[in-house]
Amino acid sequence: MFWKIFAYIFICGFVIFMVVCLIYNRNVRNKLLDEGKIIIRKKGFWDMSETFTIRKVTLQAIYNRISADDMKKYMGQYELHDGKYILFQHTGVNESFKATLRLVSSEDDLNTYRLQVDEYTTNSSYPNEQSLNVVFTAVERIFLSYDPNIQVVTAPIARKTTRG
Amino acid sequence: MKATGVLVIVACFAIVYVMISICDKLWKAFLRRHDKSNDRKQMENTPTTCENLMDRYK
Repeated sequence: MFWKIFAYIFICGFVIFMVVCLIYNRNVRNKLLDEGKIIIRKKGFWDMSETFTIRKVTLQAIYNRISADDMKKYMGQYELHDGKYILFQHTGVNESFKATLRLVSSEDDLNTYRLQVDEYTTNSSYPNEQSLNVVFTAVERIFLSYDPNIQVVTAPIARKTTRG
Repeated sequence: MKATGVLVIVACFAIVYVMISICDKLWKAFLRRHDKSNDRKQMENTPTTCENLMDRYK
């Protein structure tokens, strides 16, 4: 009898916990969407690189804009490395990622930047989609603020999946 | 009699252990091949595109 009651309480508790988690996640996602911190993206966007070409915008200027937005609580850590790339890093319980915004070429005043997820680890098939979406959206919005007509070239990344 | 029983149980455990090890190795080999093929397919099936960034935010 005791074990039946225990099992019943355990199962109910688990279901309630799952529902609460789902509702919480949905609310956070809706809040980010409303605030414009994320946009709806296709699944697998993290396996694509985005290349932007823009005039007279330095990596330092982009970094300053990201810092001013204070997005740390959504996207994890970020730092500028030698003025060559900005590293976005997130380490969760079951997942992590490293994404970079890199200056790939610079001719006269024309700078080309590439944003991509260099590596991610996950227990499921997907990385932390929400944090990555925040990173991509923040960077895209900064480029748009400099040039509303900017073009983005999206290309697949050659991934090599390894298992631990 | 008792010794034989113990021996049989130990043998059973050993057989199960070996079988699980073989299955584990086969499963990991399968996953590695699957990952390789998935990575390749993704590269082949996803085209490079160029679009106006503003279109995503309309």
